[in-house]
Amino acid sequence: MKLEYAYKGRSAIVNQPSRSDVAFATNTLRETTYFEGEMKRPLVFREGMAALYDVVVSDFRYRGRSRPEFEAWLAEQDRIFLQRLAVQAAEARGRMEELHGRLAELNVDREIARQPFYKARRLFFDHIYTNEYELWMLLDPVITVHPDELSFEAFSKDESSYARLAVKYDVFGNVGSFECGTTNIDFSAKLHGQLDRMRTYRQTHFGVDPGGFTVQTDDEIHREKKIDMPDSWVMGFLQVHSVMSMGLTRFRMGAVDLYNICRRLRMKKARTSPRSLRYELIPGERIRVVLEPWEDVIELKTTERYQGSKPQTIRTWGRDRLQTLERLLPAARSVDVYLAGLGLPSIYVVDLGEATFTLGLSGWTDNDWASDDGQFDLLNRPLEVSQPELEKVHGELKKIRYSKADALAMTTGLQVEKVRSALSYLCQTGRGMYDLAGGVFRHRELFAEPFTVKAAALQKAAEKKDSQAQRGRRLFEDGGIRITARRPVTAADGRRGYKLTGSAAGKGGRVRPLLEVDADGAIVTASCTCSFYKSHQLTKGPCEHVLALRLAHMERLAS
Amino acid sequence: MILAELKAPDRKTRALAARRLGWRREQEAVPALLEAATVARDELCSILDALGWIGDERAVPLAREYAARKLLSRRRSGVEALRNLGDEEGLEAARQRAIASLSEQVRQALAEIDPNDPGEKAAQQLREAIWELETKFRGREADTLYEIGDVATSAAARASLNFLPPQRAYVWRYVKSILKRAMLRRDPVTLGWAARRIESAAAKTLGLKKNVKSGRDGKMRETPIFRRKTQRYVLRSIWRYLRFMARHAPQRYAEFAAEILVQYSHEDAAKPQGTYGAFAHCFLLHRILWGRSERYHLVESSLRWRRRPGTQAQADRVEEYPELWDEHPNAYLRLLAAARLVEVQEFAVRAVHQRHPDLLAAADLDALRAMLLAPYPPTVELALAEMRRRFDPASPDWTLLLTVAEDDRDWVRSVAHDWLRETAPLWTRHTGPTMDWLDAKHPDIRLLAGELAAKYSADATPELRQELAALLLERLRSPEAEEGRHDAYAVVAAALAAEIDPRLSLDEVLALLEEGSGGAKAVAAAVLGRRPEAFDTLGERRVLGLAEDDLRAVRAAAQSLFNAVSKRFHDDPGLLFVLAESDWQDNRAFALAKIGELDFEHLGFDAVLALCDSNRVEVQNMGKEMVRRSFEEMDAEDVTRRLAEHPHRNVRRFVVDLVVDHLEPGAEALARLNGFFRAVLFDLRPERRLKRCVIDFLKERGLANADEAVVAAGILDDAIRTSFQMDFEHALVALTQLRLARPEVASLVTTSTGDQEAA
Repeated sequence: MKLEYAYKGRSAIVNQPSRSDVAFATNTLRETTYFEGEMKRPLVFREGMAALYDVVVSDFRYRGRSRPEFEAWLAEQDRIFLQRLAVQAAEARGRMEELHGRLAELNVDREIARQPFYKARRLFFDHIYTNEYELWMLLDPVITVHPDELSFEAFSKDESSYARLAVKYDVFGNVGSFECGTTNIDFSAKLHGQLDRMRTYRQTHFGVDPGGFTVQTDDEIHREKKIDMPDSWVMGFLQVHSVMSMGLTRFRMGAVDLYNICRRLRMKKARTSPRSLRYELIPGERIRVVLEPWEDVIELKTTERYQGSKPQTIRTWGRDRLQTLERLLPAARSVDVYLAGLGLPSIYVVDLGEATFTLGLSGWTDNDWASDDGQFDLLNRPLEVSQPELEKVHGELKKIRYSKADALAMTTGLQVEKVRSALSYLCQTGRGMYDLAGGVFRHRELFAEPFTVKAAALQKAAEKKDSQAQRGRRLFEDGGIRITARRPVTAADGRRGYKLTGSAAGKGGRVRPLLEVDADGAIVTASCTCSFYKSHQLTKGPCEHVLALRLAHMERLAS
Repeated sequence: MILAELKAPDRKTRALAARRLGWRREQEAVPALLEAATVARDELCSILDALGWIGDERAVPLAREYAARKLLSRRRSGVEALRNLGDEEGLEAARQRAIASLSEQVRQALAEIDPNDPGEKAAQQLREAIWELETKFRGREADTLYEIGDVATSAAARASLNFLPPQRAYVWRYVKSILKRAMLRRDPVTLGWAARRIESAAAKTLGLKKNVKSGRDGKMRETPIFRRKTQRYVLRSIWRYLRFMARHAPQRYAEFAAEILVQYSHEDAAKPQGTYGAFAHCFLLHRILWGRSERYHLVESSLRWRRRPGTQAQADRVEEYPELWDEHPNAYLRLLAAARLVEVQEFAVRAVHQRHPDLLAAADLDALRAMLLAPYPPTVELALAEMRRRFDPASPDWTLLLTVAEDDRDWVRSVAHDWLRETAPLWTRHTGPTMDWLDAKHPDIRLLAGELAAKYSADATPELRQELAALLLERLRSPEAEEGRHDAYAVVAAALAAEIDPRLSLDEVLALLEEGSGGAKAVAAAVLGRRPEAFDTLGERRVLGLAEDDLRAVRAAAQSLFNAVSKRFHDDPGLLFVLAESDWQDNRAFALAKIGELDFEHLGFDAVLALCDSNRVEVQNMGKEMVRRSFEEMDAEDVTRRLAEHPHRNVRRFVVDLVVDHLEPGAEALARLNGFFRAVLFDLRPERRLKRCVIDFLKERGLANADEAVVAAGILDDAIRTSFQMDFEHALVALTQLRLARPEVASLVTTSTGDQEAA
């Protein structure tokens, strides 16, 4: 996907002894979005932006140790050894030894002579890294001005971490004019350095404006960027909100608990597998976090005991990514942890008082949010939504900017389930987002093109080509699924739902899907005896049999 | 006895006898040969060849007769005999006949060139004319050109061999003909080319059988073309020729052998298989170079050389006819200059080192230059050693110096570096050679020339300096042909400041800075740096822009301008603070040095704090130093409170000391630094000293004041939740002491009378 950016000016911060001006230049090709205000608590904003930057530049993908010099040396030793074998004459061998000795001396001299070059090269790359940061960056963060908060969203370089900083208007002592909307901001490493210079003793004026700091001239557009945005990046943005709106296991930990985990990870380096973070959740007991493979146990002391109905153990991988929250630890009040399941994404919402920082981690580092057809959206209930219904929900959300599903149902006059499905649809097409911290859906246009149902449908169709959802629907329509047992259940938090078992036609015979759904049809837990589930469990979304079972259940409910 | 064999009943015997007589150049045999020619049939060519080699005029009529024949073999022997007999008239007639038989386009190409032109262009023109013909006619044209025998036509015929596939019908017979002519003519160069072409083609093809028209009777018949048998026969015959040469014309053996050897290259190497080495299929190479080696034996059936297992390399010489090589060592020179195979170079270098150390003294400059291109470093070293010996710095051979300076190998050019230094007093006396060296092909030569020209310009006449300055500026104003071309000019220009400065107006300086090459910018920057008055003309903003230039020289110029107005910084040091935050280390160092010269009175509180606020460690350190130096003049509480917001660890360490020593009493002041204390205590990087310091400080303040104890306990409560023994224990002890002293303070730690225990 080709993305175009045009900035009139540069984002920058000008610090004066008693005043700071923070100006973010916005993409002029997007909808008109601006914000202006005087910052009351700039340190919260500073630390949040620092953490966002740390996430954006992080790249935790595994890279095997590259030792070209050692390998070249090894190859050279092999060659010398073979040469020695081949050369029998004592005189020639002596001469060869002498020449090798000389060669070694020359190599040392060469390395010494090259030292200034190496130093210059390092300085050059440092300079490029600092001053030409755009070359390294994948994308500028997405900023959304909401009626109640400003949010900055971005993905890490390895596309495995999603970060969202939401700054409430309480941070601003005086909010000036603003226009809600979504756009990109010009961001650079230099700007990150300048942000670090924000202080409370300077009056900080904050502005999000197309002009940034550049004086306007006749030639209005000064800088243009054209980025070939990988589809995985877009998919990741869509998937992350699908996960957020799933039924997740939630608990709260103190900032010091997160500090204990991060500090332990910083101090030790795991040499062997498993390298997971194991959450042990036993009803009525304190939650334990176990760091494998050392089996170091950290008991979460600052939080209440686990309130769930049954014990569970959830492992998450890629735990080093938590260290990107380092800057937030001193300022954090609490951290809400949302776990989707074994090897599935985990989400950490850090409460900073006037701001919240959401860190979404994919199942593991090398499995980015969009890789291998991970389709967490299928865990939600995909009800059919008609075009007028979709347009109605989108229009209403755009108007009021954020809302809970039931409130939106009231204003649109649609059923809550329909609204939920429509919102899920909008989230998956980049037209909305789910705010986990606030528990509301928000309007956020990820793409510059205006929303049309047809385009969204096409986009969805392209994404879902030959997906598990399609196979599940075919299975259901062909009568390949049968409900063998169904009973209503009530969760610990009072939510009602159903537990189902079924029998479906699989590739190698009958398979037995098991499913727990809430009243809206969203999957709470699921399992199956098919090979897809055995291979991936839910890390790539539910299998076709589970989805077909849910369709059969929903049909029975409707009838 | 040999004469008697001319009358032997066997045709082969008669032919062999004739050839032997020819090799021996037996004048007495001429009548017998002429008589034999009258009745000869198949051996007639051998008799004509022999008569030609003997060189007796009595054979001229016979040779003329056959030179006019249509049959290729007869005509070839007749024409080559005429050449060996020195019959100019007969040769001219044959030449005209040959030209008339050429195709139209080749004849036209021949008419357009000077046939005695030794240059490559003429031969190239002819070769291209042949190339435009159909493949089956190319061989005939090449052979005819060689028959004509001029310098250009022979060169064209040789060059044509490379694209004549011997295995093709109507081609092989002409390739063979060229080979035979080369043998008859005793032309080692063409023999080498033909031998090489045949051997390389033999390695790739089995030949073929095809219906072709016979040259003898004009009938179409199936004929084997360049089959294995033929290939092996021809290769053997070449070696036989060399053997005969060694026996009957020993003075020319090494020359012929060398011409064959120089044709080999590393491209001839094949993948070794068992006891067959990389060059096992190179029959002639092995024969000439390792023919007497006991390590190899010839497999007659395949004509490949095989290594005898278990044999060692021989210490003595293994080439054939070693005494002939030594008697005519110039052949080694030919090998050193032209051989492309390392093994051949090794052979020649060994001979020079062991037996002919003075050989290179006889080498001409072309040979030495060619040796520089040899693929074998010892050969190049030999050439360089000889060049060094010949080179006289007082009367240098400039062509030689240029040759070495243009070599692409660094280590060869290092010789040119020495010579350039030695001859610098000569060439720096004139602008022409100086500019030539400054425009040399390689950057290292250009820069060295620049340095030397700069050095010697100090002693140059004023006229020369002026002339050089004018030339340099002219070049610097023109666009740079490739990046770095102007660098050497800048080096010289630096030494000609007095001459350059008046020639450049400020506008020109700025234009060069704006649009010039790197070298031009450096020169312009140096000029600008020497004009302090330019600061006011340019203005602060523009000089600041120059200070951020990518080029070090431009930044240095800007710094010079700033330096010139440094007194102004006492009143307004703002510019220095901008430079202190520059991305360039040199700018920062300059600014910090200047700031260091100012006292607190000039800088002011905000400026010192701004230094501390920096994200760069060296600027922070300067700020810390200024705070320490002027602390008494500052509001300690304000400094502490402000610096406590700094997110950098380097400043945090400093602030801890300030807090401990200067934080005013009271819970409010302590609570204001809550974030700072937490930042220290919850830092992921273990700075134990800092953490302990903060914990102790909180304990002390809590013990001293009840309100402060509440604040301290709140912070320490979190600290004791850490799961790291050292931090946790220290915080727990502090909190316990606090609780014991002030039981009213709420905390996670509870105490009971008598025993103290932590919960």
